[in-house]
Amino acid sequence: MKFLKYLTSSLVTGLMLVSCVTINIYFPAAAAEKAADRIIEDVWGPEGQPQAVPDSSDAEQQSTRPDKQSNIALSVLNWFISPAAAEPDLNINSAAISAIQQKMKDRHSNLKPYFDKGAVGLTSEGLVAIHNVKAVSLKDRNKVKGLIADENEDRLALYAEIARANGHPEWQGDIQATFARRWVNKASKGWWYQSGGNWQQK
Amino acid sequence: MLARIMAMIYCCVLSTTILASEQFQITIAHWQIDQTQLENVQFDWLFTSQGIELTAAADTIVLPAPMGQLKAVKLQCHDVAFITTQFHCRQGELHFKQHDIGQQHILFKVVGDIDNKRYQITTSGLSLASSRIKLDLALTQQQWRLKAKSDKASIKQIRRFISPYLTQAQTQAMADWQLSGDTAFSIDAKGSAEHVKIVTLDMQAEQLEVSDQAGQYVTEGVHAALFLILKQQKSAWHWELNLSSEQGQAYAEPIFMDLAETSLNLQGQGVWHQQSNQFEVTEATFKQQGVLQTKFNLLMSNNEIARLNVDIQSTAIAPLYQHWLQPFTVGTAVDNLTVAGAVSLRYQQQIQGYQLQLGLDEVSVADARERFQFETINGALAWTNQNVALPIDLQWQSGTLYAIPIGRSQLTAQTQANGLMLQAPWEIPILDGELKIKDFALQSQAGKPTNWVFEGLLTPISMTALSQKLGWPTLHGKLSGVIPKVTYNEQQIEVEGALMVKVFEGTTIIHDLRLYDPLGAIPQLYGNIDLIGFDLETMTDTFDFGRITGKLEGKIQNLRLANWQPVAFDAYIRTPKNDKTRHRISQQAINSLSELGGGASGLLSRSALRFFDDFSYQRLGLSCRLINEVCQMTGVEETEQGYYIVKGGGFPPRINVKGYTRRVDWPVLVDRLKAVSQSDGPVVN
Repeated sequence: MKFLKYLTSSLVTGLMLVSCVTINIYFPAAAAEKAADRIIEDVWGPEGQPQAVPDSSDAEQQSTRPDKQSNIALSVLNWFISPAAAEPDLNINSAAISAIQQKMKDRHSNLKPYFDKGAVGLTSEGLVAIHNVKAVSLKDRNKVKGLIADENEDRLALYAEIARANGHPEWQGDIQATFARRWVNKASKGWWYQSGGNWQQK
Repeated sequence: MLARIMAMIYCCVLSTTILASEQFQITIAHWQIDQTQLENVQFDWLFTSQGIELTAAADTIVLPAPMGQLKAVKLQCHDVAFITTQFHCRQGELHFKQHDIGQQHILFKVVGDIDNKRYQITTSGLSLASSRIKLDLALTQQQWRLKAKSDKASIKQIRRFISPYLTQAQTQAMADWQLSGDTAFSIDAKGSAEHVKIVTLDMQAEQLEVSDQAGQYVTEGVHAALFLILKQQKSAWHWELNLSSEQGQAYAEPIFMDLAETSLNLQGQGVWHQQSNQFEVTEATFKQQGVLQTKFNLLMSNNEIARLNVDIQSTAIAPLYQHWLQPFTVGTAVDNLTVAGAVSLRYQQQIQGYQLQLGLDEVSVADARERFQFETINGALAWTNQNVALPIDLQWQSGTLYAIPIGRSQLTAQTQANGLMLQAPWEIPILDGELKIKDFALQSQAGKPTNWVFEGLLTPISMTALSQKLGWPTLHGKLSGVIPKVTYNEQQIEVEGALMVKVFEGTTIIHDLRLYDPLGAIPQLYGNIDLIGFDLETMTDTFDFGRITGKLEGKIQNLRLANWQPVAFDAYIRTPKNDKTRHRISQQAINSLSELGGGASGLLSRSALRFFDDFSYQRLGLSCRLINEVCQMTGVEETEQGYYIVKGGGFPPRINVKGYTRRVDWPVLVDRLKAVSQSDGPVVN
């Protein structure tokens, strides 16, 4: 019986170790947030940066405040892999990323008035969408649709390129999710964003 | 309801014929006629020198729905006259109050001929939904005619007024729409008994504001005029319509119209078969000033299109693209074009499918993002989902695709069943060479991604011209290739076979080429490249690197270009094994190499080695694994702290060049390469 109990607890501990390693360590969540912030600050400029205290994301909490089990996991992992490899930096300096970042920056002056008046909002997928079409004059509706389509094409390309440039195309989803949180976090007061399927205003 | 009011006036007037004295009064406390109840009714007859004056009053009259109860009803006729069987009342007044339409004061005139059953009733002053309405009803034994004319009325008030009379479904449908503005109308209807023969409606709307909840259909400040004639023949309604608008803005997603700039006119005629639920536009013309004029006919059967023919005569393509094509292309590669020329269109749709034919006349197309541009396009384009073949014959005079010039070309093909197939080889001149396309086949079915495939042959293209056009360092040689298969599917172009570049007296073979999202935000190009038998002397002379003699081979594996810039590869170049050629490297080349490595130039010129022009080497080589903007470098052989880039050997003087940095910043390396290839070389004192 004692042996069985020991075996069960070992198995559970072992399973928890494995799960912590695969989820929390592999994707450099903190580095991704820093990278996202750098790009967002460049694209949106210093104006309109919120006074908000940065909200700690789930991923950050997971990687910076590991529980007892993941502490063990980290030490085990560090034994095999150097810390640099476990928490790699996220490079966002390639020519392709810079080019797309510049396009988004150029476009932002056209999009900003529509964020300001609530016509356009930020989606929970890290994209932009129409929030209140009635805030756009009839004449400008197709222009705004075009801006949104171009912005989303660039945003998706940006997320994919950051993942590819860092040699991990499979990170695209995580990068997109990180950006989604950071766009909202950095949004100006009064802008609209999606949360839990509903629109909310900052 | 108006008919009921008329009928009520008519009944009241008829009832006066039974009385005759100087002053006569009848009071009835309660009177019921069919479903109509009257309370406290009083008739007064007064005989004056001018004629008979009749006054009829009732406290309440309860009429069948929807009129309901009328209060304080008073009817006065100041000049009733009877001559044999004819009578008239030329100065009549009717007062009453009703819940929905409020206080009414109606002036009326009645002329009747009882024997011939001819009656003429004219009213004015009926107040409905803030509008004053004039009615004119003429009745004979055979037919009736009703004319109604309204002053300007608020659409909001009309809506409020009619809402009690709508069905639940109509009320729900109306609830999704916001409506405001003013309207005025005149109706002229003729019929016999309950049969309506002809209705003519003339209606104007001003400041019309319409919006659905989603904002997909919206008008702002629209002024419009509608003229409609309806004629009933057997069970069918024949109609003629003229609708025009010259003021305001309208949006029907995704089409926007500024009606002041591009006024609209729609004229048409057709038939509505009520019983078989068929609606037919036999002929119609739609004109948008300065944009297009189109003729069409349409047959809707059970609310589905059974036939539609649209014909647009030759028209300028620029406004047509701006107003009717661009809105549908948002988010695609053709959503921001500058176009010129003329186009004609013919579209035919039946239940089993459609055919679209376009005629292009001196058309030019230029992408605002400068990805492509074509000049002087002429010919016919077609597309169909039916199993009939339609010809395609298209020529262009010139074009560019990503800065690469394309010459005059002609496409001869046919379309059938959502597909396109070449009818003759398609030859596309590229600089001094040509891409010959054979067996091109394209499929694009609704709901499935477009895909195409072809066989190709690339006849030699000058690399000098190509490299200049692409902004690369000038390369000499020829690019050519036999391409057994090129496919496009799921946004990816895949090239089977290989492209060959004859350059620097050697051969570059490019294979496993894949291009993802070619017109997207960041096109991705993947491939593998083999470099065989390059002559270093030719190569170093080209780039002004400093002379090196010998042969060179190499591989660039897993190459990825993002937005046409290299972002990843695993590459090496080296002296081939058993290379028997003379291996010499000049002072300038050594300085260039040291500059590439970030060292100072001219080191040799300050040492004893400055007396030698060149040096002997055994082999040279360099490898770079580019990832994450960092080039991880190695050379031909490892040393204790680094690696040999050039390993000395052969006849003295010999020289070794060593590298110590393993990780080199790629943009810095590229900048240094550019600087070295453009520099004048070191000065040897």
